[in-house]
Amino acid sequence: MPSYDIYHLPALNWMIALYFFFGGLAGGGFLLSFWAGYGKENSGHLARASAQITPIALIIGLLLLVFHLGHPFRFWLTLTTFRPSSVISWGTWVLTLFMIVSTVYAFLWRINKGGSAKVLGWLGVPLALFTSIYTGLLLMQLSGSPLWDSALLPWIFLVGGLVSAAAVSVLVLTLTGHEPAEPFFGLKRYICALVILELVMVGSELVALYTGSAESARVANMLLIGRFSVWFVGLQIIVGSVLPLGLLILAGAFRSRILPVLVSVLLLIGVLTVRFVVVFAGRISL
Amino acid sequence: MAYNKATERCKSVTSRREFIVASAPAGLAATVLATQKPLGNVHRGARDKCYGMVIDLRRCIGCHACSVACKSEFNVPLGVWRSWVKITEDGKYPNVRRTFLPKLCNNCRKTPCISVCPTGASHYDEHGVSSINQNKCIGCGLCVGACPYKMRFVNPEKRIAEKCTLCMHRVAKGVAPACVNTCVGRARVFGDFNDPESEVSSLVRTNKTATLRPQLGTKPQVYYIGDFDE
Repeated sequence: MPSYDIYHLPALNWMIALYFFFGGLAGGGFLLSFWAGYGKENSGHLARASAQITPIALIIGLLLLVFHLGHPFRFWLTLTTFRPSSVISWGTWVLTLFMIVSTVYAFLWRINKGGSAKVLGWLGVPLALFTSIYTGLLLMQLSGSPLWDSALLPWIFLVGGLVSAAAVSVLVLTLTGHEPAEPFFGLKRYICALVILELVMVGSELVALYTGSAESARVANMLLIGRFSVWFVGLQIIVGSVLPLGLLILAGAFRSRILPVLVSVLLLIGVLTVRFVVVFAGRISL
Repeated sequence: MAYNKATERCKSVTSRREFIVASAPAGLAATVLATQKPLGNVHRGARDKCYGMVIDLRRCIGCHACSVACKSEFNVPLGVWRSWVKITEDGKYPNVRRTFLPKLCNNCRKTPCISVCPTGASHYDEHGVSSINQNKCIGCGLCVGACPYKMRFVNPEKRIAEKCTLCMHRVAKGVAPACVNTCVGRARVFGDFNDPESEVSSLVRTNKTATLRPQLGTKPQVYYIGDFDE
């Protein structure tokens, strides 16, 4: 039966989707750097590169976050109060702390004090983890969309953040002329595992949507065969996940410069699309 | 659609034990209060009020006068509404009917919109009504998404969150809210649920009422009499 009602949509736009990308990149970059710092000897340059990525990505993300507000110059009000029931309140404080820690961390790697950086890393890891999953928690606080009311969402964002950090690190190292000791700077298996994990989580999310209410099945249909299918199936799954995964597995042994660049760009397209699909498909399904 | 019992209203906020404990120093309080200036009978400006509305859907004719009165009272910009009437069409020609569901802020007792606010701009004001401090709102829009009734919006001109305030500026002066004042069928009735003598209390006592999405546990304070389709 037709009905005429008013729907006030939350002010989530492209800036928020991009912030999700850069926030995830920052969190993932820190975790990758920490992991590489304790890794094999030749992974030092990887730890260095991803440590530099973190504060840059975070500052871009924070600027996007602040300027999507109705009153950007009132953002300091969130720093004068702390409200435990509000995810944004937690987020502002953790992101501020993470900004400080990751900048010092990147600086320590820059001046080749990897040892002290690793110690500081222990402080940064929980902050980086929270920064990565925070974006998903933010959407969970909004009611109404079955796409956002999902406990998997923060973890999909975390894995996506790790993938994007690996992709950007490979891209930066390749383009700055580093000769990889191993293909993909030892990240091949790491990237493969994460992309497969992400596909599995997206798959379970779809199953959960289809077995849920009629409303959530409608959202799943919208993603798979509806108006978002080009973005979701085409760009996110095929171009952004399956294609780079295939290239990594089949052609990963070849020492070419084009391949790491191509795979990284494809992975970044995939991660970016996840954010845009989640924000815009969720917004419409409210 | 689930029907609520009157027990979901504000009086459930105070348990019997709390009442007994609280009434112990009442003698002292009475002495102090006796020295104060007598307060007006319209509005005492304290949390002892529980404002809300009873909407008798059998009396709503779908004229949208309430939506228009609200727009003009608050100068609400185009594209957003503080209060409106949802229309549902039902049946197949020639057996058709239209039903109307006037909507406004439910003034919930347990509000997701207040708990998500990062700055404390969303709060219960001195009248016990869920409201927004215009100077503290940063316009993040999270409350807009958190409200399960979609009653909030970001004002496109002021770029802050806004919503129905139950016309507290009018009520404080003893005048009915704009939508209630203009309702031709007297479908909208405004009042204090904590006052057993009020019209809203008596309507809820003597009629079968329902709230919007009671399963969410937000304890809405807008009660509907009559059948509706969410």
